[in-house]
Amino acid sequence: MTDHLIDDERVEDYLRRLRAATADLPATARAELLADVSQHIRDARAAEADLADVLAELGSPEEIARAAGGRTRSRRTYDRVTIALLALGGLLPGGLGWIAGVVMLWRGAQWTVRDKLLGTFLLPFGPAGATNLVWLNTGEGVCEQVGRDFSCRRESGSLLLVVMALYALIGAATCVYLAGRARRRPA
Amino acid sequence: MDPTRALRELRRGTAEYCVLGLLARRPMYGLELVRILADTGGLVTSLGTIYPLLARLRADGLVTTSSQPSESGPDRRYHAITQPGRRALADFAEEWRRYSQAVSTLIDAEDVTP
Repeated sequence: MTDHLIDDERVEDYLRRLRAATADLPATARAELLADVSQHIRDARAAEADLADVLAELGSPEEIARAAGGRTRSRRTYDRVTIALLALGGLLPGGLGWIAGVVMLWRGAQWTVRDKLLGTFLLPFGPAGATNLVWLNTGEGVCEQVGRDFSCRRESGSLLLVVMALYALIGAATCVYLAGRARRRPA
Repeated sequence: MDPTRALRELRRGTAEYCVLGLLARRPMYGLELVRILADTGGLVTSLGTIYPLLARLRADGLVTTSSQPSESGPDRRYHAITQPGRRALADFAEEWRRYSQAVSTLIDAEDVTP
């Protein structure tokens, strides 16, 4: 059974935009908002109002979504870039990417001071910074005689690998935690 | 200084109590609530922003929303005030009476000569 009162391309388009703009909201809040707005449109149409007027009066989907407190698109991008820099920025020389991530972390009101301290000091240079730990190599040196020369190398100590893996894991967990915290604080 | 900005802030701050004030009379469905608010000048933003406001009132336990069967089509969502909602409204009404009287007295043009 089609609902002829809201079975209109403009309405579908409007509701689709509203659904997209509220992608960030918790599921129930989003569903209720969509239900309220759909019902509003349906009731207004049943009262013979012009659809264009109804939608204009409602305001843009983006405006309604903003009033509902979800994150704006630019906020979402900011959060993603910050987390990406914190996670992978340590790979760049001098850890500059990570430092940029830390700057963005501190400038963002979506993280509490505790979050920021955690993100900065728990694991410097983030999970990717595990690669900086190679200097901790405590493996055994092995030298082979090749002709008249010796070729020496160090084997990776298993301790190093364990430390690197732990470092990367804790770093990744911190990034996931920070991402979750950002989600929960609306723009 | 801009009077319209001050009034905009005031409207934003009192919008929730205006909604509660309406629902204190009887439960209403979305469209009727929104229309009355708009007609009485209690709402200056677009109509759709009332629905997130209702969601906040629900989250604070001041309003409940329930679905009632309707003659035409799907169930209709009705919004009703709760007891805590009535208390909050009464508290605000008291504060508002005092405050609005104070403001009116202070800006009374007759007593204020430049």
